[in-house]
Amino acid sequence: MKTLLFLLALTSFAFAEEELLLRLEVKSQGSNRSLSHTVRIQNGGSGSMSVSPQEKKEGVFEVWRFHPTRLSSDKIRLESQLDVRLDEGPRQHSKFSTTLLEGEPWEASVDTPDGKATLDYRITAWKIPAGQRLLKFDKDGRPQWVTPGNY
Amino acid sequence: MACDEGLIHALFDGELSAPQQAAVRLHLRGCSACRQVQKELNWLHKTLTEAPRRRSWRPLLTAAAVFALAFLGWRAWTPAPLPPPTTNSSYEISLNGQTHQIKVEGAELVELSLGEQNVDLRKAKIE
Repeated sequence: MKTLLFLLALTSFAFAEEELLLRLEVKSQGSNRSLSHTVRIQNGGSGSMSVSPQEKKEGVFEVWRFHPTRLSSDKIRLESQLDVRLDEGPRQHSKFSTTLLEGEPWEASVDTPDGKATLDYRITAWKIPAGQRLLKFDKDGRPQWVTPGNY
Repeated sequence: MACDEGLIHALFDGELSAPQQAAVRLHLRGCSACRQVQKELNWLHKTLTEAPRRRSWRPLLTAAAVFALAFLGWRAWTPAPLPPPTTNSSYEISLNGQTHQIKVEGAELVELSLGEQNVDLRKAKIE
């Protein structure tokens, strides 16, 4: 019983302290836009990312909000919300709830509120090895890690 | 009356009738050996009743384990409400000739690419 409790506490602690890497790739059919962001976010925490044009002319305003939670060694639960709007036009709100396999991309497509463009999103998540940071992605899109100080 | 330790125990436990109690007490007055037995019996009883009771942690540990398992199950199957972001950072990038602002809250932006080109976040960040 004590061993079970110890393992439970250790697992919860290890998962709680862990950080995850989320890569969001965006392609916009119609505006020839290709953009990818990668964020580091704490397991069980939440983070948002908004992309908005400085000048309000035919720009797409997007706000992504993520809440990743690691379920097991290779599964990550991702609750996410996406707000899309054009200039001062109507806002489109989408909610996604999915279980990702580490390193396996998850894809979603959303039409802009005016229906003139489709936004294709691809999200991939990894757990960050303890004490390491992202150096770069290799040609296959896998993250290469580095220990800070060893650049 | 002959010495009988069993009767002293029975007296102590209140199992004797009134005449038997009187007979045993009478015997105790005149028998130092039986008084010693009674004395030791009293000491043993006092020691046992004053000793701290050993606390059993088993029910508490079982309850804690059940609670922990229930909590982990709940975390796994129930989407948690989104807590408010805690950190902010802002970046300016040029995309197809238009300047865009990227704001990140509650997370750290570690990489940003436009097509095949990586953006140097240190230059792009708005302080």
